[in-house]
Amino acid sequence: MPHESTISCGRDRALWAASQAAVWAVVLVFALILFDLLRYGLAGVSWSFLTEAPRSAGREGGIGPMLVSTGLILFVALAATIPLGLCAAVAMAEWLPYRARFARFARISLDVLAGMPSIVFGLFGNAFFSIYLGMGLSIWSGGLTLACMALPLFVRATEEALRSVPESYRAGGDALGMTRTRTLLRIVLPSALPGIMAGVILAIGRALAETAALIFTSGYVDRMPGALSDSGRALSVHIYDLAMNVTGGSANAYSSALTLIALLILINGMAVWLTHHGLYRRLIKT
Amino acid sequence: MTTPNFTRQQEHTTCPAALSVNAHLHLEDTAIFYGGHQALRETTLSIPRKLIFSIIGPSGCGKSSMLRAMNRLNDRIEGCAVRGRVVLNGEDIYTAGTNLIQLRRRVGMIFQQPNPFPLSIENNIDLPLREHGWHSRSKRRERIEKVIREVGLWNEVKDRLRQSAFRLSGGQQQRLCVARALALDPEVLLMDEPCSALDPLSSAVVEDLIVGLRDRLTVVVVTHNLGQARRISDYTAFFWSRDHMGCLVECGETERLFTAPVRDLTAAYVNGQRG
Repeated sequence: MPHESTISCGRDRALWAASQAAVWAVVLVFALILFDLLRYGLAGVSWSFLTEAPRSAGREGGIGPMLVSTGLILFVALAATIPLGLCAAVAMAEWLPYRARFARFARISLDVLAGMPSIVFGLFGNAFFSIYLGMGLSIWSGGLTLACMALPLFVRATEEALRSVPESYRAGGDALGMTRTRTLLRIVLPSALPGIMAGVILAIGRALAETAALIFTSGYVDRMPGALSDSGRALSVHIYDLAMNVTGGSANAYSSALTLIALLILINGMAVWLTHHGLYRRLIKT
Repeated sequence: MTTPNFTRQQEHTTCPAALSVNAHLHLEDTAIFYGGHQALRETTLSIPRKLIFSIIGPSGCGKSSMLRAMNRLNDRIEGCAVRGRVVLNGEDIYTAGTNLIQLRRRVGMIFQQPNPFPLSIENNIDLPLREHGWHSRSKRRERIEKVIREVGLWNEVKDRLRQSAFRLSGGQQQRLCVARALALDPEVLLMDEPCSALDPLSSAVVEDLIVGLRDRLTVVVVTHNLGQARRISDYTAFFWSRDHMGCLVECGETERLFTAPVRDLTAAYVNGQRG
């Protein structure tokens, strides 16, 4: 409850009750999903499940190759998204005037891209990376397709993070005769780091969760990938396959889903910790 | 504190040309525009060397804009244009070849809100020093200690130089900002209401600090506090806003401007009847 004196009339109470109920509903949905996954999936998760190759189309055995493929796809996606997205966000937030036609056009394009269904990205990735650039069904084309999907989220999050850095830092840098590049690298970017990390987490979340776009680009071969040019089955694709195409695969589908969720929570936790204790401290507090 | 070039008869609406002989900074028909709107009418003003010059007047009379024009800090404001000349040591700073980095090293700026960087106390000064080519770490250390002593902050912070500057009080932060500006050895220091965000005690400390800079560098301070202008400055310029456009009303020796103003408007303002 907020402080009693802030609730003055019946309308306030009703709004407060409604928002509280909404919060509980959100928590409940998450709890239900987690409960369901734990109930059916926890028994199947073991060290051998995480490391072994699947047998009998995934009904038995583990998800070792999928974990490796997922990691590699994620790596390719982030390696493309972060440098490209950072530069684009810096251009839009720091260099171009907010109302510049080019920046406005870029912002609208990014917003449209962010709302685009993933299947469209899949078809584009297949046509462009797999066929036109000749990458075939490979971790390269899967990762780059995911980068296209994650880029708009990351750029907008980073742009907002940069815009929330107080203007007085930039004015201070200018007034001290510092180049804008130095002010950007030493003051503005480190200050924006928490927001940028939130963008990275969004990008990772979108990439890990993606299924539709990957079926057409990185494929669904469930062997251990030997190189980035090999096809590799992402964990989410594996879950889809087990749940939809393999009779008797639902137990392992649950265990795989649980692993995916655990991975997501782990990465989020790590990013938050890194932001507040590692990188952030080192860059800003010293 | 009088300079031979300054005589009472010459002090009228614009500071007289004779002043510019010894002027450090000289504005000549300087006008400032935001988009299509003129914020400051063509103004001619001379700022004498190594003295304290205050600029007073109500809000919106173009004081801050004019201050920012003196080290081209309003270059960074979209749609802001400056016409006329701003002359520093005989050179127009608005010519195409002006090196902004060097200009701002020579003409420092202190803002209304203390704006330390989100770095340690030490690195707040270290970073700009490095930017301006102080490669030797030990020399930078010496310099940092020297300027922190100059602003009277040394005893308060010597044991916590590596702590975040945000943990200092507002007044301490403002003094750190002055130290940071002094570290670059500027010849002019522009101050935009440097005390107005501070409590009275901190304000008094910063005020003493400004007075201590007299004879060492030229200080131009914009202030809303008439008492402060009178206490600390040698010369004062009074601006007023007409039709949303700032204009210079009167300029001269501070004591004379407060006790025997030429213009009625000045008299009304300094006596608290207007503004």
